[in-house]
Amino acid sequence: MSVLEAHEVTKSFGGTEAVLRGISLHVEPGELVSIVGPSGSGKSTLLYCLAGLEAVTSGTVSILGTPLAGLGRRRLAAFRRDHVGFVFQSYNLITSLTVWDNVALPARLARRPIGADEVAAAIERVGLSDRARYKPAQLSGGQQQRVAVARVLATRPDLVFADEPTGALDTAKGDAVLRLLREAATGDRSVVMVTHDLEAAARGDRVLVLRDGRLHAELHHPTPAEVLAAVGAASEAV
Amino acid sequence: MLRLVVSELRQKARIWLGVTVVAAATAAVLDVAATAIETAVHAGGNAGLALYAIGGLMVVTTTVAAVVVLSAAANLTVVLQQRDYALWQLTGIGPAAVRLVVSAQLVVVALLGAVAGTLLALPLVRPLFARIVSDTDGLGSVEVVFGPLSYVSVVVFVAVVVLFAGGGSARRAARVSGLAVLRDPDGPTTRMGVLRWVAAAVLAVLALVIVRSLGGRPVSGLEPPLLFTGLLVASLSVCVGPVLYPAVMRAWTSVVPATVSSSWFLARAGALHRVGRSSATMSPLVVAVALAGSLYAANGVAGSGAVGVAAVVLLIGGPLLLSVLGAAVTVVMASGARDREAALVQASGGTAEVVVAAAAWEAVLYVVTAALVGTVAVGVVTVAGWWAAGAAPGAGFVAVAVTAAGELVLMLVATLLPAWWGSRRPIAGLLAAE
Repeated sequence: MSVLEAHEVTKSFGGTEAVLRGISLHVEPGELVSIVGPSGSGKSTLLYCLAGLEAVTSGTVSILGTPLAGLGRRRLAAFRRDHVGFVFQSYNLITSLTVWDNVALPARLARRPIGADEVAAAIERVGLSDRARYKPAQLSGGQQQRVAVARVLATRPDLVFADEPTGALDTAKGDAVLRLLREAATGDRSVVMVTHDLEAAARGDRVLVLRDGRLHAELHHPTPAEVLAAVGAASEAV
Repeated sequence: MLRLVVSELRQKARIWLGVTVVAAATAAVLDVAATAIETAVHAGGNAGLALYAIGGLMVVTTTVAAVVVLSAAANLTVVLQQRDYALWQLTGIGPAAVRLVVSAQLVVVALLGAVAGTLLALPLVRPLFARIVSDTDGLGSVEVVFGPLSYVSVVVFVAVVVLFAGGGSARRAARVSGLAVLRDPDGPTTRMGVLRWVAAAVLAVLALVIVRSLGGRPVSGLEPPLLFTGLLVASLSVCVGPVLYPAVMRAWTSVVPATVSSSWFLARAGALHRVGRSSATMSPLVVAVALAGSLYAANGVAGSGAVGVAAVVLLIGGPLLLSVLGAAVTVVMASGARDREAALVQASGGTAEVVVAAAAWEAVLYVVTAALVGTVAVGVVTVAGWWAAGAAPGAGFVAVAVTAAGELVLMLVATLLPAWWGSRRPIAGLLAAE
């Protein structure tokens, strides 16, 4: 069974022209799937629709075989809590909580017992053991992003959605975050990542190229040059 | 520059709402005081003298409360917009220009608020004032007067008070360090400056001197000094608020385990974080509790009979209104930043109910902490009264409980409505990068 399946997804805001126009895709267990495309191609909107943060206008999205459209607000929140993790470009962390508490938050919200050793191990994996009691404001942008990754490592969701996870980072820090996301996509767990960084996109098992709200191309284990060529073609077509 | 002043006010209307609402409330309360003074001018004689005293007392207490509350609201306004000021400076707008823009914005919202408050108060002031003085001996038959000179004076006076109270905030806006703020949008933890320690020491000494002077006084003459003692201790608490509020909140909330519920955990962490960065919400709540409690405690010690509604309205009605309203609007002002936090909680699997429950807990945290701090002032008044008069009635503590209950209702409205609204906003839009 696919971890994620989307069928003919469309999305428009308030009767305006559709941002997404009939996108179908699937994500298999253990996959890291990158979504790229020119500005305004609908990458982030697609990610939010796939994650159930944004309702689709038509079409279906299922995670682990459960159609998201059939879930009410409360059950959708519970479903996200149990199966989905997020890494955003910014506003990743709750500023009033320490690194430790941010990492343990999803488990706390789920009332799911999570051992201190699991939290500590996740924080250690992202190299921030000495910052566990710090608040987000005391960390650099790259460190904050690594905390967000530690959160998904600790709670081990089935599916991680990452929206421009390296957008605000320099090459070295971005590379560290990508390595962690790559590691998170193992076994039954998968990662879907939206990025404008073509080098980052090429880390994916598959790269989906969006153009004008449609799926323009799909590349398997591409090189950065191949991704660049596909995105260039999509941009020219626009 | 004028375009920047106006466009920023329009764009950040929710943030500026706080100063505007407090300015409006200040104007409305001062309209009543102005009515007392103008009526005194027309009445003359003993009635006039009595009305001068009432009006003067109202002006003083309202102005003091307005300066405290407006300073807090203006400070929070600046804190919430630090990122913008930093960006302005990075785009070449110098510190002097930033200060000028913020000062101009303060004057604009003060005038808007004062005019709105006066317009709202106009039809109510005469009947309200007539009702208040009707129970007072010798004032029942005076003709209540409230003319254009009074309300124009009130509007100008409010603008001056706002500019005075917000002057420090305008200076702070000009001193914002660009890169530091862009990295830490919440701003640093509030610290106790030397001035605060000096002011606290002066207030403590004054309170001690007054308490020592109580010995040997007739019981009937104890009420004013005891009330003043309560005000001094409350002011002392406000002065040391940056260290006192987080300590008190941390102490009493540590009794409740964090594992009780996710909403409690989030509310405690959020309230401790915010109270460490700004006293804007706590100080007005503390002042309101201490004012009401001290009035009733002092009255109980002096044994001068039950405090009537008219006396409460005249003596502390204005400051009470400003304090409680000020606390509530500061919560609403800061709710924009909480929306993103709520969205993140929901993205992490929290339900909208968790977000709303956390907001309710936060209101409880503020009010209970304010009641505990305010009770210190009431306790000092009660103990001093017991030492001076041998009586320690509990009326002050009842007033604390009643005031805190009223504060809780208002704070619940102030926290729950934005939280409920925020929990229904699209999560994706709130968490997307700017």
